[in-house]
Amino acid sequence: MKVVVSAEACQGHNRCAEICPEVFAIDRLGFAVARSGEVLPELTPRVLKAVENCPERAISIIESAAEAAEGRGAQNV
Amino acid sequence: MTQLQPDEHGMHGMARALDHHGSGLDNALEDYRLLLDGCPIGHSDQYGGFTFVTKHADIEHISQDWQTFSAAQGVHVPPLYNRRPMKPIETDPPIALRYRELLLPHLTRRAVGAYATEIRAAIRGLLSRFDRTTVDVSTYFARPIPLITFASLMGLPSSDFDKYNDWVERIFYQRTHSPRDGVQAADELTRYFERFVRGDIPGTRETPVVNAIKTGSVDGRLLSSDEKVDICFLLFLGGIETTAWAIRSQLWFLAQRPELARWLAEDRSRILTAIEEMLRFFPPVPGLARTVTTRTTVRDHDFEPGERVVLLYGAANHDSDVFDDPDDVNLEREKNRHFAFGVGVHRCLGSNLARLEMRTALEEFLARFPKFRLTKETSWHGIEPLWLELASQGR
Repeated sequence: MKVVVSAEACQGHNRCAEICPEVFAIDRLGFAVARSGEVLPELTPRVLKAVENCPERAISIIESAAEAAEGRGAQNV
Repeated sequence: MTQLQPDEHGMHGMARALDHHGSGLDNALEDYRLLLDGCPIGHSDQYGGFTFVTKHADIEHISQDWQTFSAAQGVHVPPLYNRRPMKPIETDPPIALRYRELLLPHLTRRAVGAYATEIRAAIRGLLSRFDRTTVDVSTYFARPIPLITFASLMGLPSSDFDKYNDWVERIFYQRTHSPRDGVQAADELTRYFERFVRGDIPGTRETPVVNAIKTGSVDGRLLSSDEKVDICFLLFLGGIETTAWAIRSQLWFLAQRPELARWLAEDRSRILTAIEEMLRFFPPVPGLARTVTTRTTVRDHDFEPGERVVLLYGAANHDSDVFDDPDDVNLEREKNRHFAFGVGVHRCLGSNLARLEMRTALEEFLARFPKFRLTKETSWHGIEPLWLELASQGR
């Protein structure tokens, strides 16, 4: 799966970066950017925790085409 | 004001007495439960009357819809006696974003990390000065920590701490008792920052935040003197009483749950998540206000232009639509999108700095005093004395 932070929604709470710094970077103004590419499976629980703790609901999970073919639903929060 | 009671008008009669300050918070948990379940949007007669909002989803929506729900007419009910809007909090986009962009780079997690060593040393200093086994940890720990931090952030001299304490007391806590004194205190604070902005406070140092305020530009122009003062005013009010309240309420809670204090002391990496849960349960800012600009409907409530709306972050933090077992404290809570630092474009600028202070405070306190208990009953809210009997680590 991949992760996307909505630049419009992010307000720089930084909860995501604390929970999973491997995936969420913080820019000069303190807004979050998700590193591109597939999320390593071992990071998935913390990425999901980051999604659940964002007060702005700014983080989305985008499943890959392969995951979609397997029938796993996309989780947009 | 004790627990809200339904009267012959039922929930709406009860709601009219809602007060989100002082003793109105004594039974916040029970009051919020009643309102969330029975009257999620209602009217209070306090402070000239306002509409309160309790549901998490509604507060999220309202906070993000700044066009309809403006901050520019003030965010405090009752007001804090600043004569001009505090900046950036009492402005709307686009100017609100321009002001925030001046300050955000200096308040990121990385930026506030520059103060970490200083803050830890100051906290250890406060703890080392506890000279007896029973200590008022509000006056001698929770309250000084953000003052020291604010002085570091703004390059201000520690010799002015008594002044700051006095202004905090009079502006926040007197406004519901002695408004005239609140006005005077706000004016004194304003004059202090006018001197500061002119460079007339002896013993000041230039820090990144001060440099940003002095040299930063907004829409291609430097800030006016008034704008600089209004930003300083907000930084002062935003970070001192709030953080003291948070640290105090966390120690208040842990003092009554020794097994949890011990659990945290055993592995202080647990403190990070625990603080988020305690912020959810004991938010330092129970609510802030917006003013409606255009007619809109939220959850069957018709909001009219000019209507004053108080967003009860404390209530939203107990919304069972968002939090499992919301009225239980779970220091390992995994899903915790609380609103203790607000939500939307006015998310607390100082949240990273506040978290650094709270974490360091609890780490150092528990390292030294893993065992402590309340010796005098007091409320969870505010910054009144908090008397604890401390058992030393013995090192």
